[in-house]
Amino acid sequence: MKHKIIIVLLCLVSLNSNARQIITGNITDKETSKPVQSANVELLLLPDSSAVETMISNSEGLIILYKADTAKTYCLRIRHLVYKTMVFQIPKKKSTMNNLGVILLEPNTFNFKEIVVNGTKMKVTELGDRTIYALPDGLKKTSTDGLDVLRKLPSVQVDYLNEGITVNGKSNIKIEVDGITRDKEYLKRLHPSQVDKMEVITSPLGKYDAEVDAVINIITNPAMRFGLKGMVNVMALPISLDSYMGRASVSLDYGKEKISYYVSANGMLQQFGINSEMNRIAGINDLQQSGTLSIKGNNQNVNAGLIYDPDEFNDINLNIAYSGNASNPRGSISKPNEDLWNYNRTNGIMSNISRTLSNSKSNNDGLTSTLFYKHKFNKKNTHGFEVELNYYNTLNNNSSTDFQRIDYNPLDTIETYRSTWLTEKSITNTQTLKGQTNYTLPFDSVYSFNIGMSTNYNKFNIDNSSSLAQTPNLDFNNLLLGAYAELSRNFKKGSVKIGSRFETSYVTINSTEKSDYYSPLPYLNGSLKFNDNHSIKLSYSRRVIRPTSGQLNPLESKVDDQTISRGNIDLKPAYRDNLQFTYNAKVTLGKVTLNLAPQLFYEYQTGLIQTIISQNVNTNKFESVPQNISNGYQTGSGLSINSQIGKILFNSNFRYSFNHVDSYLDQIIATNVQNWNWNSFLMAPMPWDLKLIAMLNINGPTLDGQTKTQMSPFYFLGLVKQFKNNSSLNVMAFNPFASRFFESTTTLNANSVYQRTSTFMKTQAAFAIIYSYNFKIGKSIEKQKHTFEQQVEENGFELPF
Amino acid sequence: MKKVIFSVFFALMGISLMAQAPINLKLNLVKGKMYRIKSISKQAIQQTANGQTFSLDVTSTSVTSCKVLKLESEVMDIEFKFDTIATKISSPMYNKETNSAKPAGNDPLDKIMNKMSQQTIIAKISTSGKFVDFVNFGKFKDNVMFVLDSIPAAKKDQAKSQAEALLKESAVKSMIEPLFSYLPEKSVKMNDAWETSYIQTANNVSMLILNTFQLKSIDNNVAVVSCKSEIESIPTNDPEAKVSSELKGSITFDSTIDLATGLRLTSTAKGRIDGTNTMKNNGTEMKMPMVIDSQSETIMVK
Repeated sequence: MKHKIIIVLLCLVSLNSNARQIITGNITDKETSKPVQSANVELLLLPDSSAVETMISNSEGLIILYKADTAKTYCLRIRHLVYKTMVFQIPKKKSTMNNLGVILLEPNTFNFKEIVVNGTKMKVTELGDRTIYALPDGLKKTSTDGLDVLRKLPSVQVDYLNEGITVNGKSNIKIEVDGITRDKEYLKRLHPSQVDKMEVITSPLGKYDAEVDAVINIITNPAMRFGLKGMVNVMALPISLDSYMGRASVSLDYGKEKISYYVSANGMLQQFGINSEMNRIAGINDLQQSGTLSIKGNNQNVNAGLIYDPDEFNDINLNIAYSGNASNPRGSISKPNEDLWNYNRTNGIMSNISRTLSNSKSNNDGLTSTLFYKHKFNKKNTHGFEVELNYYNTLNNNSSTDFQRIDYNPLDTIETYRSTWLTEKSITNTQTLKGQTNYTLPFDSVYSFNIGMSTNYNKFNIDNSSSLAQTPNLDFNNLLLGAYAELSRNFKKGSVKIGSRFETSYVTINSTEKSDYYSPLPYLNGSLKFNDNHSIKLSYSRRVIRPTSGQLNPLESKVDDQTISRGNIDLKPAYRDNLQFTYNAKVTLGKVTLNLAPQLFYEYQTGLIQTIISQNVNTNKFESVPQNISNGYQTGSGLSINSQIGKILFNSNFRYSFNHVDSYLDQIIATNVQNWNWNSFLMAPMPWDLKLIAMLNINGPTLDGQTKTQMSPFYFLGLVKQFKNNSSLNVMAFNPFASRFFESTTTLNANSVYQRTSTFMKTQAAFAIIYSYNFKIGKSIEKQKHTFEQQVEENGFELPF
Repeated sequence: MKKVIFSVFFALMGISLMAQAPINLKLNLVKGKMYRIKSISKQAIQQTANGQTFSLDVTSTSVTSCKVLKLESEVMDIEFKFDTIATKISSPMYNKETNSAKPAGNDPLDKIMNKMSQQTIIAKISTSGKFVDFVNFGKFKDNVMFVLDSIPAAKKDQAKSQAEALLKESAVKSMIEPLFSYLPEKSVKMNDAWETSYIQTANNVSMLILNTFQLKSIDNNVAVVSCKSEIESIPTNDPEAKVSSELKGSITFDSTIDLATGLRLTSTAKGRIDGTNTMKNNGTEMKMPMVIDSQSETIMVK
């Protein structure tokens, strides 16, 4: 009887609970919130984990499983090549439909060896204050590191010798990686594949220091953080027998789920032979000068830090960077590095021949510590705050010049006088403490409010000594307080941002309060999108140029036999009011895609700081001193092109400007100069998995106060070969067919003096050979296994796989 | 007499056994041959918003041609072409007619539909009528999206969002999957029932269709099948969706299936769906009760 009752009960249970169930859900990338296509989804019956049904997610990330039963327990296993495998128990429901909602997949460790991509099409997105370049993998694969990727953006130039970065010809650039301030050496630790997008902000908002001309923010792919990986880059650049350069960088990176550590180091060793020629005419006197300068030097940088993301709302970064450079570190007066011959004529008759031997050397070392914390109140990153602290301290900064003068009889060139060796020396100590905090509050999806404040305490003292004269020291203290408020409004087809930065600065020089100033620095930018292919941007901002320590340092320094230079303790900041109008157009003609960005700009400059050379009526010596000269303006147009012609990538940036400087006392006559520069980069696929790269950089004359400078063109042709072991070899010919390298001609045409100076490097061969290798240790499968086991444990059920 | 009784008994046994012999309802299409399926559906929709009831009559006509390209391991690559996608909407306040088979005028939607009708899409379908996957969905979508180049800039944004909604993979799949989702996975006998299901997506609204078929009779190599479909809307997983639906209903079908090809020769359906649509706008919600009375007819075009 008992058995019968149990059988009847079991039958009843069976009859009541058995029903078909459809399981659905949407698989989404946890980082980007985009649908994940082609994920392999398995419906597994528990407890034996036998496969009931499998399917592949579609282009919307949608999954539908039809064979579930409401009476049974299942788990879902989702696998995808670039995501962590996910296993979870399906919540039981009695209804026919069991909608799992959005299933977030976390990007997995990338194994570089598995990535084979050839795409080179760069996607350009225009926002009100910035241009975003989504970098194609083909472009990244032909780059050696993050800095090399940056070279390939249309509006950015990275110098191949000293790696200086300019944007639209301006050099005060702030570099950020994921919104955190970094230096360019940090970019060298980034593997090109880690770089996802690059943002170029040519009209920086209030959160940035008002001195910054442009901001480059590199957005990395968080998935590339995982695993142990490393990178080695080596570059050799022989130019001639006495000129060469070698550069190397290594980096090591270990990332786990929530934390990653990194350490990177790079160094450079160089020796350049620079020839110079100068001709100066001042009244009845003229001076012809020719010289050679040997620059031997090295620099080194070490970055170490950690990135800690405990959850999706918090982000902590700590970075410690050591940077150092030395010029002519082993130089001595027995082997001076500069030899300068002066031939003086009066009324065309040789009056004096002299020679100056100099030995200059310098050393600069510093340690920078940066702590960054960011907190988001919501997942959309619209409400949050960030804090950044940065401390810099010099370790050993000094520079010295030993020099000796030798006179010759102009008639028979017999030595008539030889001075003792004289010395100029400076020891600099600098401490900089910067703090910055920003808060973003969205009112709704339309309006957003940003406020922030910054403190920057900058202290440096320069201990000067000179054999020539008593020279005062410099003790400089600057407390800079900044704050900003900004309101932005999003429209259906554009956005407007209006705000202002306020800066107050307290400067004390040599214990005397020199200058306090208060600057409102308003800005406005707006964009209007006509459609996906056409948009316009208009921006206005007021920027400040503060005098540098070198410009303020009163040390009287000998430039040559007849010229001294010194800083100017009375310098004031200069201001620039910049207005830019940009039209962005995307044109597609068959296989040709063009991103065009013609731009009109106008910049009014107030109290520009420029170096003035004038003759001292008492000593008859020429003095080179920076001054707040009168006002000026710059106006012109630019055209930036990023094009994709079939498989060929071609970037070009042309900029024309008309520059005007008002007259300044009797030193500068009102001057108009037309300036232009053209930068182009080309990359084209070749047979045998080779890529051809070429670059051309031509500059017109630039105006700096009294002087006009013309640089020679720079160009190269190169081939890149990508090997299967994750290494690449670049061979580049710099300025082929040219006998001079980096030739610069500067002309000064003032009321009382005309001077023409030419410097160049002799070229015999300039072939840069760059070898790059990266590796990754740690199988992603093992990681997946670990993650899977962890998930099983967390979900509290066992799967007998 | 004894012989007569035995004869009748065995004859009845024979008939009975014949009737009980399982039949294999499977797609057995000739490779390279073009088949056309025409479907006409009429829907009378009543929607209530702010206390006012609006009526809407929607007549949809579709002609889809298909051709088997290859057959491997019980899975066919079938090339589909949506020859005609025509819709006529009539209401007291609004009338609109589109027909993809006609040359497109200036209306962006007409252009997109017309372009859709010019393209072919290949899908993998099992011989039991199950949709497996698309072969060239990306290419099909890209080819249709090219039509946006011919749309004036002022209308392009709107046209793009319309095209994106129409060309969602699940939406295109919903135009193909129901064509064959009436076949059983195994052999069936008279009065046997089998179930199929699929998700129908249109205008960002997804409905789950659960079909229960029953083999009623076989006559002259044609199977007569009845079906009852339970329909239920699927809550959207898109947090930014402006419309969410809670609809439920049922439809009854009567179909005839050609045993030789496995294709449905005729199918008539009648049903009702009702529930509520919820519109979200700037944090406010508006609930709109809705009733849909539907009739449809699907035929093989010879």
